[in-house]
Amino acid sequence: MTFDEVYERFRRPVWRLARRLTGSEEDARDATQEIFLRVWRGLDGFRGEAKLSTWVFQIAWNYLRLHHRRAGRRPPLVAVADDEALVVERAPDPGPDPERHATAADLLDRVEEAIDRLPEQFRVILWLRDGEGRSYEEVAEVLDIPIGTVRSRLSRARQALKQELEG
Amino acid sequence: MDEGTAELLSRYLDGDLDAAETRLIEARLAAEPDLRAELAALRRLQLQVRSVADRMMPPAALDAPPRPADRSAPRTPRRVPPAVRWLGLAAGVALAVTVVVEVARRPPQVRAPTTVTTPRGAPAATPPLAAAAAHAPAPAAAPLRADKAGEADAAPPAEPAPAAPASARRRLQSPEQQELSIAAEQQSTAATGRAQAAASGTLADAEGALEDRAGTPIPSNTVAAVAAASKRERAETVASDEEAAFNALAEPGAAPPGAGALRLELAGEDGSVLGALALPAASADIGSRFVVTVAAGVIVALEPDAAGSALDELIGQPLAGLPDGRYVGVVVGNAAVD
Repeated sequence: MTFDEVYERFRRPVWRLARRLTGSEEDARDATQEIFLRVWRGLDGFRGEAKLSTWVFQIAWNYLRLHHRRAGRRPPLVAVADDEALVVERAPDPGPDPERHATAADLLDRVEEAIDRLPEQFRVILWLRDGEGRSYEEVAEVLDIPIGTVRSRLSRARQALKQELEG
Repeated sequence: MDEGTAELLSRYLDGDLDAAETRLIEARLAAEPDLRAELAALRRLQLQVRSVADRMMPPAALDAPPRPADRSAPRTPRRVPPAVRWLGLAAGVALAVTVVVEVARRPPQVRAPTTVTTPRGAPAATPPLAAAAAHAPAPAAAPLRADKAGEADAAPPAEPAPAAPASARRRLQSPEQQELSIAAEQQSTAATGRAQAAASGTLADAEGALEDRAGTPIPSNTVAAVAAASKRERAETVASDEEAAFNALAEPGAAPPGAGALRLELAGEDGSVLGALALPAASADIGSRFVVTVAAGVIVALEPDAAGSALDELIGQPLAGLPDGRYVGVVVGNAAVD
C-alpha cells in the first residue's frame, strides 16, 4: 500500500483522534500532519507484524500522548466583565443546558462536550472503541495495555460519560 | 451498580463475554429491569459516540497528504560497497555516539543532559562495544533493513531482549505506585551492580554501567546500543576520502555530502551484535537521555520529543526483532577522529 493510500484510508480517523485528544482544530490539524510524516518515514519498515490500522493508531497515540503532555490540556479561557477586564479565568463547566433544544445535533454536541471533559485515559479508550470501532485487542495493542485493563477501563469510561451527560 | 456488573454489561454490549458469562448476564437481565435500562442506556451512548465520530470531517487543509521536502528522497539508504566500507572504517572518521538502551517498560525520567568529557580521537576511551562495533565485520552487524521484503532476510535473527518482570508489573500501576516501584528497584539494583542501575534512571549509574562493561558482562536485562555518528553540520568541503568513510559508517547506505550519519547497533548479553540501524543524519549531546518506544518493530516515539532535532530521525526507523516496549537510552560517550 502506498503512502497516499494509507493517508486516504486513515486521514479521517487519525484526525478525529487528534481532535479529541488535542481539543483544538488547529492542534489537531498540525498533529495529523506530524503523525503522517512519521507514518511516511516508517512505512518502508512496516512488516505487517501488526495490523496496519493498529500501527497507524500506535504512531498517532504516541505522538498525541507526548504532544498532549507537553502542551497540557486546559479548559477554554474567557475574559470576565468590565472592571475585571484584564483578568482571565477558567470557564466554568457548562453542563447540560435545559434551554437547549433537544435536536439530534444538540444531543451530539452535548455528547461531544462530555467526551472532551473526560480524563484522557477514559477519552482515548472510549474513542478508539466506540468512536472508531476498534476491537478490544487492537485497543490493547495501540495503548500498550493488557486487554483486562481495556475491559475495566472502558467500562469505567462509559460510566463516566453517562454521568457527565446526566449532569 | 457495582463495578463488576457494570463491566459485565459493558462487555456484553461488545460481545466480549464467553458463553457462561453471557448466560449469567442474560439471566440477570431477564430478572432485573434496572439492568435492562442500564444496558439500553449504554447502547444508546455507544451509538451516540459513533454518530459524533461520523459527523466529524477534517479540514480541507488535510485533503492532501503532507508533502515534506524530503518525501522525494529515498527512505532506505543506498548500499556502499564493502571495500569502501572498510576504507571508511580504517579511516575512522566520525563522531561516535554510544547509547545504552535498557529494556525497561517505564515512564521516562527526563533529566538535564550531562556533559561527559571524552577525548577526541581516543579510541581507548571508547566503550568496548563501540570499539567492537566499529571493527566488526559486516556480517556480524548486518543491518536491519527498512525494506519490507527480500532484503529483510539479510538481517540476522535478533534475539528478543527479556523484559524485566518488575517493569512489566509497573505497567499495571498508577504513576505514584510506579515511582515507589522504581525507587524500590533502584535499591535492589544497587546491590546487584551499577550496570543494572542504568535501567533505574540515574545518568551517573548509567555511565557507571558503561564503565563496568569494560570488564564485566552486560547484565541480562540490558541491551546495549552502540552508535557511530557524524555531525550533521559537516561542511561540504570534507575531503572525498573522509566523505567515503562517513558514508561507510552509515552503511547500509551512504549519507549525502554534508550530512551526518548515525549507526545504531544493538548488542546482546554477550556483547554480540543483534542488529544495526543506519540513520540518515543524527547527532546528540553526550549525556542526553531519551526513551525509545518500539511498536510493531518500528520506533514510534521518542521522549522527550525530539521534534525539530536530528534525533527525530529515529522515528519510523525499523527495529525488527526488538520486542515492543519502551527503552531508556543514554548517550554516554563519543569519539571523534579528525
